[in-house]
Amino acid sequence: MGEQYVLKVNGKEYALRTGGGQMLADVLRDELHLIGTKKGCCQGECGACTVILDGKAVNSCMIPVAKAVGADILTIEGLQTEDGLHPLQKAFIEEGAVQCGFCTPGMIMSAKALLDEEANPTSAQIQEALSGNICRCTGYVKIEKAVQKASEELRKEG
Amino acid sequence: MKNLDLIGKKIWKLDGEEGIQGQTRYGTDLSMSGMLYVKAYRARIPHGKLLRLDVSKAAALDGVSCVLTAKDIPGEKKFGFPAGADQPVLVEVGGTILMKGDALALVASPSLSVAEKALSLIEAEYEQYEAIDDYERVANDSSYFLKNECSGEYSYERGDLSKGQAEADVILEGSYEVPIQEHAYMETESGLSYYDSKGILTVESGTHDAFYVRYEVARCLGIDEIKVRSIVPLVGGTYGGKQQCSTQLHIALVTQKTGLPAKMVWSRRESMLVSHKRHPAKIHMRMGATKDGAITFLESNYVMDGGPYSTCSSGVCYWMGTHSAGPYNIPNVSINGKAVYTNNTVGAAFRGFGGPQGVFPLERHMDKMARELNMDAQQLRAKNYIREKDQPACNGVLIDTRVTVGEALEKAIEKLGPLPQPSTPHAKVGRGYAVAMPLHDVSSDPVWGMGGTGAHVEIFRDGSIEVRSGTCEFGSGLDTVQKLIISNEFGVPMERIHLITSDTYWTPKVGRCVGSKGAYASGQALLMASQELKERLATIAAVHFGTYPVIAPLVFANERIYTNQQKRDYMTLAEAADFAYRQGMNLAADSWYVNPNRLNGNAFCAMAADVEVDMLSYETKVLRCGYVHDAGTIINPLAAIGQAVGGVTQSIGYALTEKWVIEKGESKTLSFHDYTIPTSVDTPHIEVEFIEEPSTDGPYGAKGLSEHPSYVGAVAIVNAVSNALDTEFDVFPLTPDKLYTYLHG
Repeated sequence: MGEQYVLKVNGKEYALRTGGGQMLADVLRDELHLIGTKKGCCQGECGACTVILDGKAVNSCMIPVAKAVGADILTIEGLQTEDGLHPLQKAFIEEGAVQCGFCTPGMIMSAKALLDEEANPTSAQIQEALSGNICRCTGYVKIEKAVQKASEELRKEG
Repeated sequence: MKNLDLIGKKIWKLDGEEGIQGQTRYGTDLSMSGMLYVKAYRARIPHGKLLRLDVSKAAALDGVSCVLTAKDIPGEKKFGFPAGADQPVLVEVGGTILMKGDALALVASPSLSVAEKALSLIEAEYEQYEAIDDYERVANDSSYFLKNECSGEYSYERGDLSKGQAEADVILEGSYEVPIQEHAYMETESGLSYYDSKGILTVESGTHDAFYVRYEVARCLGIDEIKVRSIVPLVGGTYGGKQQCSTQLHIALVTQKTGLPAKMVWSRRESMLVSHKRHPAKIHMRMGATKDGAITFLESNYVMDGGPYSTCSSGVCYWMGTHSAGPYNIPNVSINGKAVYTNNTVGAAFRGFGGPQGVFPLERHMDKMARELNMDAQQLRAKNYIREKDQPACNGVLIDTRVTVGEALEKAIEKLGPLPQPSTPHAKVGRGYAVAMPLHDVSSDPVWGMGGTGAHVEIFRDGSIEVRSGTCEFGSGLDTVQKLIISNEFGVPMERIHLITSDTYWTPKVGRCVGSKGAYASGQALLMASQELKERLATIAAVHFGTYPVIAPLVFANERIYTNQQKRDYMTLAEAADFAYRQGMNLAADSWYVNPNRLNGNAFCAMAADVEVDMLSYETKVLRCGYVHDAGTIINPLAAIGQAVGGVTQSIGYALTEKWVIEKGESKTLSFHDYTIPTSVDTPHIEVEFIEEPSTDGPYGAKGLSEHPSYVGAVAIVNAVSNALDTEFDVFPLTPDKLYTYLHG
């Protein structure tokens, strides 16, 4: 049995034991069963595993879990509130920004990190923020629109 | 009568909500207690004899449940369709390795890391042979071959070529090359197998056809198909690439051997190494035209690289041929092509299925011919378009609706507005376009020949409806479309319809979900079953209204059956269903749709694109695209536009960035770092419009939709770059290094 550590995910603390050299994406999926974080390449190239770590969007397949100890980790499962879906989630559905949906959680987390920093992003800023997330189905146009729509919604909510 | 209240309205994708909450389970997300992880040991060489395979150290490793080799396969040792099972499930000792990455052994362990470690303990010895990698040479040199046959052939003759040559004022020749393209779906190949509580071996995996997987698993395991259940979870992209078996046979073998659940997920590298690709092809074309632009003949000879296994090369080779003369009425035509065996990557289905390879040389050649004739390229095309009631060369599918190809091209160009000025002094801009008349497949089934599609529709006593359909959802929105059709037919809201798909236990068989026919064939099957069930309910309503035996046309809307359009007198659907139930009537209807035509055309499309090439970096940027498509009646515009934009974006990658490198049968581009897929920053403004000229036999007049952008996308962009640089580019992708080499040698 490895050393015990605590991981803070979506506001909850989880006591875990290290399996040695595990990556954050594997711990989220295999230990915490948070399968919304996807693994598309395990090389930090596709962005399907994107989560927010202390406010920054990161590829969780490239983060050794030891580096995530003590950090606030937000995954797609933590986005929804008691009031319902997050405006980004709603906008992705309403704009038709989801096709096979495999890239969607990672895409939404990258967008969330952007909107947390920049409430009213330009088109170029959105494209740049999402440039680490590959989507092979949709062609990005509707994804960008969804992010724009969510940013308007969030600003209205204030 | 038809109620079109919902058809054509933007409807959100039904599984979207689960997906954006992270709850959707793909094959990669499935797990069971006691599950084993399966890994494959793969050949390190592209061609050779397997002399020795020592798995003893791996089998002895603590934590390894089993190691399987070819001799452990109880049934058929090869798989593949439709030409024949010629790909080894596992290569046996003494057998021939034909592709780098061929599976040699399987390792299973409850621990993934133990399974991975066990792989490193397997030893293989090979007698290496020369890789047969030059597919053009295979086609032309009888002493150089891998297998002494072709994996596909196409031949078509019409008219008299010599007459066409005599009539021509200008004869133009050209040689073209279209490259490999990797599907690069975001979810790699995956699957889970297990015995259910009744002892049925169940396989859950991403595929285009649950029934095909059942067939192959039963053959490989040497058991009856009734002992196998195949389920398709939501699939994380496929674009044709997950049609053949990948993980399924391997996990099923492990479950059969151990009795335990088994899961396999391919790594990205493994997926890129082993998965099938878009066939590369080389084409030599000759075309003649009169001075005023009438094309008098077309001659094309092509060869495709199908790699070592036949898969669907015969179909792709045929499809390339059928699209080689495009939407043009050419009197004298000769097209001959073949697909050959090599030790390169396996060529198989990819969005367009050979069509894009047929359209590329033709639409490049049309541009060049226009220049040769000093004629506008759009005008040259317009002069030669087919007309209604024509039977075009190569495919002969009767044009039975209005010909909209010219209109599509005009609109696509209009969407671009004036050609923009270069953004820097060292940039050049250009515009290009292309048209196509993609066929789509309405009834074929590559394993069993003519493919029928079934549907089961059942109304419950409370008025809710259960639908069973064998089709798979892999992102195109087919589940939504199917529910939409039922909702539209019965006037029942989507949330009161339960759709069961792709489970061989429960759903009727389908002719696989390929060839842009999912909505088309299943839609027709659903309409047939709905019609039958509605007729029964209408009888009940006629009794209720006191008109029986006269059954006047009734209106199904608002969960009610109305006597007339004014919607005054009605009985609820629940009342009708409950009454029918108590009368002992069957509340379910089953249908079987088969279309003897097999192929349907008339779904014309056009794309126009503006590009800018930076002459310092040699990078090309697509500035904007106009894509116009006659897809018949659009059932769900939101999903339809998504398919169009997604297809155009894949074409941008195909045209400009997605360079697959393979040398002597060794692929070099096995990651997203090396194989460059377009991202958000590469996306231009893409405008889409649909011309809705109804088909004569699709559901509500719908036509095929999903593959069509791939036919025209890449060639429109290459035409644009050729125009921008005033240089004829006959190969692609036009990566900066290729542009530089092309221009400067």
